[in-house]
Amino acid sequence: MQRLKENFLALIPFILSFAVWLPLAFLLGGSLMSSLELQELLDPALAAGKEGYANWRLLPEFPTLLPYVSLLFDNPQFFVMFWNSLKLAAGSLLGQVFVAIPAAWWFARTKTKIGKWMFTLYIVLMLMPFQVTMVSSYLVMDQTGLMDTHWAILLPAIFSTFPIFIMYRFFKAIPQAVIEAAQIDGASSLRIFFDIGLPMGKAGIASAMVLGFLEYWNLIEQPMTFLKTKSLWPLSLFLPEITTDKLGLSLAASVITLLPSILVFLVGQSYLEQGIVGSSVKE
Amino acid sequence: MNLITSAWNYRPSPEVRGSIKARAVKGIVWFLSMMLCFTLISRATSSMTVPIVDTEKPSRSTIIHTVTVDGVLETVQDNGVATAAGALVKEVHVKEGDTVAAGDLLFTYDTRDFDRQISEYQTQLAQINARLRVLQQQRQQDQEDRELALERAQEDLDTTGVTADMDIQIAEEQIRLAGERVRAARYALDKYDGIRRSDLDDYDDGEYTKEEYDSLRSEYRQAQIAYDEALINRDKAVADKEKTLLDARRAIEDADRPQSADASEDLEKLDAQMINLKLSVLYEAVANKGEVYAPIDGVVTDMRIGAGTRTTNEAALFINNAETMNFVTEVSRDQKKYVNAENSVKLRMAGETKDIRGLAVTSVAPSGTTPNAYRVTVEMPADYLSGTSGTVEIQQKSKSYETVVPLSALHVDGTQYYVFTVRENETSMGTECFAERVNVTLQEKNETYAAVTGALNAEAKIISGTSKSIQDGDRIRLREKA
Repeated sequence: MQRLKENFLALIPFILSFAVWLPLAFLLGGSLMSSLELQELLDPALAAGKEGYANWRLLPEFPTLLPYVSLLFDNPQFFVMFWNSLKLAAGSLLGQVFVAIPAAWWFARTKTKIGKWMFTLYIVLMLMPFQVTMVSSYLVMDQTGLMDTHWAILLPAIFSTFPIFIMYRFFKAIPQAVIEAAQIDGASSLRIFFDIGLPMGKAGIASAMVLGFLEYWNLIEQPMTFLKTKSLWPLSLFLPEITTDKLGLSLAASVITLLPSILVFLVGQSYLEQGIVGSSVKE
Repeated sequence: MNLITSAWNYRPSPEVRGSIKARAVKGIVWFLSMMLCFTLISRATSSMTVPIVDTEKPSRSTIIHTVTVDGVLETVQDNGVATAAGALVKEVHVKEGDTVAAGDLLFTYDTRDFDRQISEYQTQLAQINARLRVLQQQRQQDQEDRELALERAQEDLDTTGVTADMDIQIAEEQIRLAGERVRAARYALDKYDGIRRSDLDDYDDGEYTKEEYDSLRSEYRQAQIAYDEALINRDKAVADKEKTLLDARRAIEDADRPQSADASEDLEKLDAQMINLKLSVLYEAVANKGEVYAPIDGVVTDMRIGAGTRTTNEAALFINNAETMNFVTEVSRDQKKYVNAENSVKLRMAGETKDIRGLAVTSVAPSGTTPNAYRVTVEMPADYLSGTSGTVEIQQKSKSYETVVPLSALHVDGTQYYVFTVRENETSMGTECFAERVNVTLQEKNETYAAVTGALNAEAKIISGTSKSIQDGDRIRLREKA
């Protein structure tokens, strides 16, 4: 009876995960469909003057690679936006390496009250959604002349509070005894940071980088708000440009856009798991 | 169920996990490399399919229509130099193309045959003069006869009129008398019993007897008959008068009619003139002792005699004394629109390398030989021989137009003309150029330019040439100017 109960409980997440994977399966199947087949399935929902629901099938009836060929060979705009996305993501992460990591280390190791207050302020700011600070951010960017440049997105991302919050916990978990032992041995603060803090906190750093990449790769609100020039747009703004007669193209673009996220996640999966496990361990 | 649970509880070993991480890193590197390659390929493919265009800005200009046609020189006026026919030419001192002055010796001939010709012509002339005198006398006689006939016809008219009037008067008098007789007879009848009767055969007892009544009635009827006859006679007299007058007038018209044309006298006069002319030539030839001189300055254009030939009735040679010649050509109906006296004309004769400028079109008229064609005449200096061919270029400038574009930029869709302009748009690739169709109205055009009106400004870049066909909205590239 107990075994049956355990098996039943194990089945529920399996079904739920299947439901999570289903849209991806649809996406893959749809990216291999021709325009005619897609129109036949989606016209009831998308075509003007028609009523009804869209249909879908898991496997294409007439599979074709034409959407991928069209996307990869006939759409240089896609690659302009792809490299813009990569630039924004990589630039944000690189900036965070130099800004967020030292900041998180200080917040984790400081014993001053002001440090604690500032960290609390950081948490409060982190909780605010983009829509709340959008207008003030817009005014600042406009006044500083950063509007319609990538710096309007990079600078806020570099000085973002979320990676500090992630890395703070990992730096905080480093035993004080290790730090003191290093201090007794004559290590400077900088050396302690580079030789003890970074190695022992690499799981947190990696977690922040992975989560940061996933966030900045899919950024859409900030580009829509701060970027007017189309040649600066990231990939997240490519799909809205596509019309309904090029749905195959949009699905293929979605698959290509998904790949870097999957690969980066696979690289950083172990660190994420370490972080989840580590947070549950109490000293 | 054990399978599901074990799948749920599966955790990859560190070695496997490291392997996945390494592969993911490799995957990222490969992915980025592939994306870089596809970036280059897609740009190359896009650049190959995008049309490359040439652009020009519209300009304020005129449309020049040029009509270039071949033609030939004709002389304006040729003066023939004639001499008496039949003479043997001894020597010719000029040739075609020579410029001569008045008084220059042209050729010489033998005059010995002319004496006989002079005698013959003189005899003919005398005969003609005699016949002419007879004709003149005859004409005069005919004129006098005609005048007499006319006079007599007029007299007849006058006489006839008077006579007819008298006849009418007599008839009128008879009518009057007959009328009185009728009234008297009627009065007598009415007096019979004081009652006017409508029916005279209705006898009633009265003052007279029946025999007397019948007698009165008979008298009345006879009076009526006489009256009617008098009326008839009067009408007849009137009709006779009209007829008589008509006949008299016709006689006058006949007498006054001009005589039918008789050209005999004129012909005789012409013959006389011709013979006189021939005689004058012969006299002149004899006086000149067989030497013919140029009557005017000019250029010898048509030599029809040579040494040893005989002169004919036609001119022996022609001298063109005009300072100008006509270059004649033909143009079509469409070309004629651009040919008029105000055009700029340029001429190049065959074999020449320089153009003759400053000429003008002197006339444009329908061609008598070619349908739907017009004969154009350009006056030029008489520096060439008649018959020389050449090419004339006639240019006409239109009025100034605000917007003139190359003809290669103009397209037509049915009856609507349009051009393509360059429109710059911001796209994800940066600033890109697109073709935008602008409808225009054609004002005038020639072989290279067209004047249009439409929504075009002076700074618009108009596509004048393209490497591929383009439609409205197509992405284009501007050709780099060297």
